[in-house]
Amino acid sequence: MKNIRWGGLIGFIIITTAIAGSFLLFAEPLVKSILETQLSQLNKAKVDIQAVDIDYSPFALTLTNLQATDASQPMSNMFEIAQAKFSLSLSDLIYKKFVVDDMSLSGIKLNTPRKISGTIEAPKKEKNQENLPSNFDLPKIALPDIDDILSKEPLTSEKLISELNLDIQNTRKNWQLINQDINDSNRWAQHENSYNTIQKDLKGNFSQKLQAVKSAKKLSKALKTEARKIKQARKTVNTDISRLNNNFKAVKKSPKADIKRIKEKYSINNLNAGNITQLLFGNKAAEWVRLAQTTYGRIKPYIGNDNNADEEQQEAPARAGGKNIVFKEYNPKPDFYIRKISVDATTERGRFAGVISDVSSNQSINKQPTRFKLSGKELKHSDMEVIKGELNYIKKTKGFSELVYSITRHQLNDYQVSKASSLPIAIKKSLMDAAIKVRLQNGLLTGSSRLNFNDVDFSTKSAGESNNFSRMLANSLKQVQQFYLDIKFSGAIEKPKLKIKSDLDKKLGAQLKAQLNKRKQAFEKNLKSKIENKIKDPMKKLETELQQLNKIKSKLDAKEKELKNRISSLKKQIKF
Amino acid sequence: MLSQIIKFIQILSSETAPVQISAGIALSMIPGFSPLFSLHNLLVVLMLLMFRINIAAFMLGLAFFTAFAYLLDPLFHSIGQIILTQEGLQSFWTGLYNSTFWRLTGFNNTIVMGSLLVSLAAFIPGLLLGNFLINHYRNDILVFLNNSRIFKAFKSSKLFTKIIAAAE
Repeated sequence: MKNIRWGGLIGFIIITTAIAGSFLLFAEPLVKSILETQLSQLNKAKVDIQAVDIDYSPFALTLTNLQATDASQPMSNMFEIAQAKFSLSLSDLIYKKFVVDDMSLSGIKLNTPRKISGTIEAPKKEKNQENLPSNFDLPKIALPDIDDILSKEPLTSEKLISELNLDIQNTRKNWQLINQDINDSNRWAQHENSYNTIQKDLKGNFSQKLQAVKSAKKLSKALKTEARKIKQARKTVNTDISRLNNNFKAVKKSPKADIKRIKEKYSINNLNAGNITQLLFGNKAAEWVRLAQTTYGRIKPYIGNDNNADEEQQEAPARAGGKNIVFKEYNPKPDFYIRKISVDATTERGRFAGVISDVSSNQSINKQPTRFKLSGKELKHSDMEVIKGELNYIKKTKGFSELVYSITRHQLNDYQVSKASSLPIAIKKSLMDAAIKVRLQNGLLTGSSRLNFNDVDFSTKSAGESNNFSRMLANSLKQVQQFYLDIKFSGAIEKPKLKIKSDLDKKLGAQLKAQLNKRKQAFEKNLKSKIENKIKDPMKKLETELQQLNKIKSKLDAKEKELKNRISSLKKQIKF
Repeated sequence: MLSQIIKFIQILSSETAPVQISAGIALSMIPGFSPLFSLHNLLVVLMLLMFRINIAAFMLGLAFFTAFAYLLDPLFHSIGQIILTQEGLQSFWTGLYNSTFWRLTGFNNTIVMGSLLVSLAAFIPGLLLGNFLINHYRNDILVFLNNSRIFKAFKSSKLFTKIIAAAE
């Protein structure tokens, strides 16, 4: 016993007790600080806890007024929990595992404002938002302005008129030359002289007669040339007249061709009312998808798919701290595991209560998927609202998230469907039943939703005189009392494709189609009239020109006849 | 550090039992080699305070072995790895791994295991060697020094007085 230092032993006991006592004394602020730091890192925005109470038998924590900042909106809380109570396994904590058997969360409020900013780093712009359709365009139902089209579109009619005009001018010049040529008075005077001389010589002596025969042969040859010229002129005039007439006919037909071309160019024939459902609910559906993406982004860090955590630990570098060899655990548990969470949340829609089970950082260890089911109670605007789902990542390669949501007899009041200035539409009143099922596997989204709207009362704002389609649609919508909406999702979560179907198309489509056809016909008629107006004067001029040409032709005909007579008379008189 | 060495020389030359000094040095090997905040070091502190072990010798040994441990870490890691991955010991280690107390000791860390084994293995030889060296120092070296004229002259010099004063 003399080798035992009693003072030392007592000192050891006192120091150890003092350290343990200090820990107990400062445990609550210490745990509060650790939790706030860790949760803030996980949330990527500040998480504040008003107070932490620790019970040691059994070991349990009670967190009061936990506020988790929305990382994308630092001045508002993603959620607020009035009280979070959970019993912890101390032995698991020693294993550095956060294992909770039963957790109760009460007084949950969503999207509450913050007094001070909860940012810990600059909020990042969410990538997937860029990939989403920001707005669905109205169908290109507005017909283009005809005057505008005619001011910038070169008309084939005008081109043809101008070409024909030029042709007529050239033809006229050509004919004048021909006319001058075949009516050359000097030449004909020579022929006359020659004829007279022949007549005179024929009455003379032998040598004169001989000369007359020679001259007659010469005159005959000249007259044959004149006849050929007249024949050629006749042929040219006929060809010209035929061409000009044909071209004139083409000019007359050209407005039709112009109308056809303009209609094709401005896709007038392809104009239709399109998918009215897509038009009305496309933006809304995109908003819903964006909300789902944001929600998924928020819960993604908490989804238990961190299957490689242990493997990574085993492969840690050996130096300095050494290497922790991992042995098989008899009762393996994930690093983070909550067996059951009882939730009681108060939202603007009413109270929601339910259970979330098996929240785990590594489902391959606890072999249970995370499941949740929240049901609405004392709902303000619905008879029933249930949201349930499963996050199953037990086998990472086959992991999936599934969500099923249903709502019954939800009262919609002044629900904005379309905010587009050209088509502002709201559902003033309606009772809606909805069932949505979405599944996400390997980054691919599949799902469908069915929304039934009953006792619908659409309200629309006047869209202005210029937007006939909006007004037309607004009037038609007022007749709709019930409709359904089918939305199918598919594709990558970052860029999902939406297919929207509804009986609205059927209900509104026929009426809109008839209206549209009427407008198309009016457009065509108006276009035709304006084109005809535009080419009216040139056509008139053209017609006059043609008439003049025809007169010239008639004159030429007469001249030809006269010349032919003269030749024939000359030939008869020469008689050789 | 100098004062520690002088104190140690003073202890070596004092009436303190050699086993108390050598036990202090041998015991300091355990926290010196292994990571300081290991659970087994609490037991070492308890033993240090409870038994008549020379604390100055322990502190000097702790400083020495801690510095030395950085060089030996790769060796400790290798020994720990070999022991912890021995096929025949797997069920034993698995049993300990599933015990809360043993998990707290951090036995599954290669450096903790390697350094603890080395220091435990070296404890008895260290204790015996220390005893032998202290006895040899006291009976032979110290007697020789005390009788030597040079050492007597050094002991009476101002430098010696200053060194002793600095150590105190």
